[in-house]
Amino acid sequence: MTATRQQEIFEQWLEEYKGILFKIVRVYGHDTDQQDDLFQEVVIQVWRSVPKFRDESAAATWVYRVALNTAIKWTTRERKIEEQKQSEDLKEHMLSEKETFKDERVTWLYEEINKLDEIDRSLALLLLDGFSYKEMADMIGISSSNIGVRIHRIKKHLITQSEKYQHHGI
Amino acid sequence: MEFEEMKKIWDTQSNSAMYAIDESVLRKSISKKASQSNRIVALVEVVFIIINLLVGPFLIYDAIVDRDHPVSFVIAGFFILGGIYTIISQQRRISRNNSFGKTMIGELDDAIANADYLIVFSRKVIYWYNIPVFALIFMKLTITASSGWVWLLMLTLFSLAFVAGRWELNKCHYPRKERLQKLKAKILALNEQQPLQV
Repeated sequence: MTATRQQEIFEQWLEEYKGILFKIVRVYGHDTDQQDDLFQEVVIQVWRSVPKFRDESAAATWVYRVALNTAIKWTTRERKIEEQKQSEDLKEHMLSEKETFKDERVTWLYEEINKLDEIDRSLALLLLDGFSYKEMADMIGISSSNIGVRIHRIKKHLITQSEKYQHHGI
Repeated sequence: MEFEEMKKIWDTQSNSAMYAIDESVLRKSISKKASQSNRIVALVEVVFIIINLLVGPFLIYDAIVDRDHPVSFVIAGFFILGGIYTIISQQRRISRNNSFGKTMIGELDDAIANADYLIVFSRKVIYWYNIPVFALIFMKLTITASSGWVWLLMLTLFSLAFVAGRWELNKCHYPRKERLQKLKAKILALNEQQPLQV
């Protein structure tokens, strides 16, 4: 694949699927700096993955898989090590949060998902985005029946937390 | 709130409105990383290659010009071979890292294998390279009856190299491998839960 073709596909994916990437960085990055750093890492990995993509799966699923695997391996410690190799002058931000994004209920959902551990966060994201248990199991690498147990607990946790959320009239 | 209602709330997100992307930073980031192999490039690898491939040829030139003791050529050869070996190992590691589309466990396995490689490499440099090289250097200093200042300089360099190598092992590679293994264990623990009876 030529570099030009790789860039074309990458830009097309970024335009169509940036929503997926935004959700993942919002869940795995705890503040705007972390979200920006993680987003930069995710886009690099998505770009690198373009030549490896085969039509065995949908492009959206492929991008989701690459981004989620990148996020789950990413740590703030590694971010700090990378920052030590750059001077402050060179640090540029790729992402800036838009003021129009202010739905309290969605914010609450992200806050609750952020409280889960790394694996449950990925399951919560996949569940809310409509992936089947089989698709989740294929992405993670375990059986779909065992996915179901964890999903059941995540749902129960979110429902319990939502009662507190609604009770406080937020 | 039922889960279905949460899903409806989730679906109302206009995801493209969440963030704005600075296109120039995006392009710069990709072009910068295009020639790099991996985000986690071991400092030891890069510094090692540069130092060895600069110092080795210089030492050979110096040994020829000054008609040095043969041990100087052995030291120079050690540097050059060390640099070449590291480049080959690095390329093998890079090709192993360029795999995508695997399961989460598969990618974690790759990351753990990469962390293992960096640990083994760092340990080889500390114990199987630094010590023999500096032993040869100290041998040459003895043969040439070098001054105390040269001895002090070499001892300092050896100590710094040893400490830097140990620091990278303990602060970077071991913790990273441990974290990745814990993540993998969490996923595998999902397999041990009782399946739901439907």
